[in-house]
Amino acid sequence: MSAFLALIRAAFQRELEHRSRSIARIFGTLVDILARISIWQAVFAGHGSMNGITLSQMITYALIGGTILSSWDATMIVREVGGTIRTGAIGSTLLRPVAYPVMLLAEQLGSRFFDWLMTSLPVILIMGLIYGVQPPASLGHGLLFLGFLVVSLAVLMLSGILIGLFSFWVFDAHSLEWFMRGILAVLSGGLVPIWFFPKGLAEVAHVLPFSWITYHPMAVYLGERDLAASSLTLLAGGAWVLVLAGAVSFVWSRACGQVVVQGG
Amino acid sequence: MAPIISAASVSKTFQQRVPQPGLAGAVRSFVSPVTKPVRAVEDISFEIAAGEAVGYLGPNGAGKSTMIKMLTGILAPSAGTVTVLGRHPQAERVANARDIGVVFGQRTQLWWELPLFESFELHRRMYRVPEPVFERNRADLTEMMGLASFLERPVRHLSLGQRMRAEIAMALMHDPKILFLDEPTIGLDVVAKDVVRKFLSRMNRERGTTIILTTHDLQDIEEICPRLIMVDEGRLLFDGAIGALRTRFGARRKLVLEFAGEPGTVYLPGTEPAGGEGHVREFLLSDDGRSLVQLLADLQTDTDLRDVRLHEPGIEEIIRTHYQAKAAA
Repeated sequence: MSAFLALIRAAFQRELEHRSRSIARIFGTLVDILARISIWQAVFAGHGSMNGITLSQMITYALIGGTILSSWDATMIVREVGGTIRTGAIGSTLLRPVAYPVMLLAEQLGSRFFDWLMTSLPVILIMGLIYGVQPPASLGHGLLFLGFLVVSLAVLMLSGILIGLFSFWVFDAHSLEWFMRGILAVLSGGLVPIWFFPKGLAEVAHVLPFSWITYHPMAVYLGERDLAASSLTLLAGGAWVLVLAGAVSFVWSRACGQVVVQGG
Repeated sequence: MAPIISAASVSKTFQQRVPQPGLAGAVRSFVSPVTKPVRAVEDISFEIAAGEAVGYLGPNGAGKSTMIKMLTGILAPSAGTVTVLGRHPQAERVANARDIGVVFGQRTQLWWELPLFESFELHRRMYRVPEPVFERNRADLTEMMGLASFLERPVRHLSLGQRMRAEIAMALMHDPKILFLDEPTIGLDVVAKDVVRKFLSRMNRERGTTIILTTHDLQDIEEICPRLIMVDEGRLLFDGAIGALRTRFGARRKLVLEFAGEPGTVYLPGTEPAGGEGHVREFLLSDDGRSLVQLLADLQTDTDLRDVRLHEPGIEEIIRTHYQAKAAA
């Protein structure tokens, strides 16, 4: 455990070394959020609410869903795993007495926490001051949201690791990364909330684990469901986390036999 | 003593994609790739006892790194078994990793962006080194490898020599029973090489750390490893003491005689003339147990001797002779 925490801390510290990158990321996210809010303002022009959702709810959705619950940067891990395999750096990683997926998890968590602190927080603060951000629907919804936050993080990290591990078979990690990026952007509800999806697609997206990344947590935060239904959704998310964790450990056990170390 | 490392008829075969000529070929190979097996290690067996220092030597592509990767649990052998400290390194990779230290000269184990001491700290936690042991090792290793002046510096700012010393120090922080080094002196200058060699041989002597070292710098082996395993094209060529290598590959000692004047043709019974000009004549000795004094007593010449030198062939020379012979064959 102490190794795990230390690895998270190291990843966090590593991000601190890249100052200009962090600053660029704040600006990038600001522009991204601004674009989302503008789109929703245009969509809602002249309507008080759509499907029972108000504009100010949608702004909050865009603001929180586009920062702390965003799936965008999580796909970096796929590129990273692909890179270590392509360059052969996987060799030195495997010399450490820690399971590789656990190392990847720690690494991702470290940079995720960094992002929350150095990108999400300032962006929410700035944009919240301009456009306003809604508090959680109730104290209960707020507390449940914290649980959803953990599930969201777990689903996101585990799917990233899972797809990343396929680099052991598919040497071109970029294709995997774009595949994942596309899937997540749509199915997480990060771009458009699932309640605006056509019916058939909405039903599918609803039960797939990716909707726990952005959509379910935000629906609960905004009070679109009562506490009992929210708790059930949270449990279902927890089940998905277990399934994904099982899949990661299975794929990793198969990947171990696949290791080919490039470049001597 | 029971061996702590053993390889029994170990082979490793990689499937290598065969590129097909032409665009049509490339498309065909994209749809269904043609592969051919490449044997990196072929039927190699050896045993290493605790406390030994062994040099694993061979030209590029001889399968040295592949063997190290099998012993450290990164790769699984295609056939045969490797055992390290009674374990199968690949199946029990994490447990094996805790008991060994590894340095790859061409890859870093350090955290690139972080100050050096942070890497040591992470290492301590990952290897679960008890605090007092770690404190002692860190103090000792920092002093022996002269790391104190750059402990606070991020690893990416270190010179290659500094980084290498740090890599080796880190690999020893958890008191590993075995230290594997893959080309540890590659790219280092003479001074840094010397520091590394002296340090390794001291670790081997004083702490009894078993050392397995691959290199193509023969001086590494001469200074650190009494035993030598030589491989070429995946096969075992030689396994034994460095001295025995000389006999095995027929490299002979050379006697250089310097005369006071031009001696003409000099005949020395039991030796073979090996050239020389002016006042100097050279002879190859056969290891027949006769001493130098006995040999020189039979020297048949009227010219006075001014100097006698005996030239021991280095392993480099021995191996060069071997590869040249192979290339000629």
